[in-house]
Amino acid sequence: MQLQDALIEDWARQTELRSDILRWRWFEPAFREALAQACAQQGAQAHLHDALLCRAFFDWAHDVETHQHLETVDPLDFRQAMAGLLLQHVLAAQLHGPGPDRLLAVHGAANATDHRDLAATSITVIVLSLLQALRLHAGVPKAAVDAELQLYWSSFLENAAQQPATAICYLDRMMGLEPVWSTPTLIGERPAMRAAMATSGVI
Amino acid sequence: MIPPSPPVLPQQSALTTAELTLKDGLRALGLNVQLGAHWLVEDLGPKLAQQIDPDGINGRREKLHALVDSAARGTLSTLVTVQQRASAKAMADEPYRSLDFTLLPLADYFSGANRSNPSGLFAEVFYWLLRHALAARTDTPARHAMVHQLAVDEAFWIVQSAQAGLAQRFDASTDTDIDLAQDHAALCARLLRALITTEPVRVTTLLPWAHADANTVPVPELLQVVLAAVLAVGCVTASGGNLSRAADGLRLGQQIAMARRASFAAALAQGARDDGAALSAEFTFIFRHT
Repeated sequence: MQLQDALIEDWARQTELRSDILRWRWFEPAFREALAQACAQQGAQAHLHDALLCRAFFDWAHDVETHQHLETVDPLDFRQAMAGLLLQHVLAAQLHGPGPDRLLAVHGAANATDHRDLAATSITVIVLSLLQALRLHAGVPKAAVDAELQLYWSSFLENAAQQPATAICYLDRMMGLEPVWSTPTLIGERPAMRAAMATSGVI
Repeated sequence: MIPPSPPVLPQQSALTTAELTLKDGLRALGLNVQLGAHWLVEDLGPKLAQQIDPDGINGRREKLHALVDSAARGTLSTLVTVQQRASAKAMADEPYRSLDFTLLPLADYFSGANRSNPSGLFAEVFYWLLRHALAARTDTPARHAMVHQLAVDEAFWIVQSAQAGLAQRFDASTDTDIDLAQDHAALCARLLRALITTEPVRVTTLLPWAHADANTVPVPELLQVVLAAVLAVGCVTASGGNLSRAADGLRLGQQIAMARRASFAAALAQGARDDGAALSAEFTFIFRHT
């Protein structure tokens, strides 16, 4: 899986990245640009469903706000959790929608399985790239993506389609962190968060 | 900043009402001409041809069908041209028609800068935003619907009557950014509720000179259309940037309206119980992330 290095560097240089990323006027064009690049890498094109992306974005923003108080506990793990929540909502719009509409309609791949795979790959690449940019922006080096990702890629897609919140766990695994399979959306239950709270005497 | 409410008229002037009623009537006539012409070409013409030549287009008198069809299409073209010329003469509105105008921050529309017609700019801008938002919809009720500018104007006066207290708050120099953001959201919420009340988007399938009460039916999708217009202007800030272009603002409003309609509908439903607090909170949330 090839991340978008030029975009990552470009995003990381933006002084207000952490707050801009939660603004639709920043997010939409950034997502579009990243999608075009991700698809081009795979020799495909994608049509983006505006309303589904917008709904996923605001649902994500709502979830981030809900857990905002945890950012001071562990800012880096909070960024990881933010990216996990984003992957959850965007993948849900692609794999789990109530109707026939999907976030991305991919053209140029050989068959339906390829379309599904290409769409999910593009989404995951974009979210991983955003996460790496958030890390750089916070002054932390990029993390290596799990070299064994391909071994559980199909399982990731299948589980995310049935239960979108599992995307948070898979993203943790991709970044070499310990997933919390039982309560993926409870950000305060993440190992790093619990450790930070224990250190600071909160728990 | 919301300037103080001017000592303006407490309601629409009779002249404004008459002018907007005339505009709405002319537009209803235009819509019905188009719908009627469509019926002439798509429905009546083929039926007439069928009656004259039951063999249909595969029969021997194929030319007759073409003649009837050509006559119907000619009538359509004439009717539409006449209606468009009449509308163009009555209303010089090209920048609005092409969404090529600048949006102001919402509070500016309630400043009453034009003392002889305080609601004039508001009614014009929101009429066109609603009209474009409606035109973007392709469902049948929307295709048979039109925006009534008189109802848009009525919404202005509903908001204006509740505006005095808000204007005084904006006058106070001690207000923080948070207060101002909350007041802006409250103004948006008030406007949305006013537009829902006056129902400016209605189905107009009967001729305008038919029974006055029978020819308008609210559109079920009213919320999404109205919400798009309110968000288009609500997202404009004093340092507006690209979003102060009406086309850009409306595109943003339509995206968010489509994505968040359910949340806004739920907040509206709570309105009677919480005096609009949930609706204001939803607007605040949207503006925080836009």
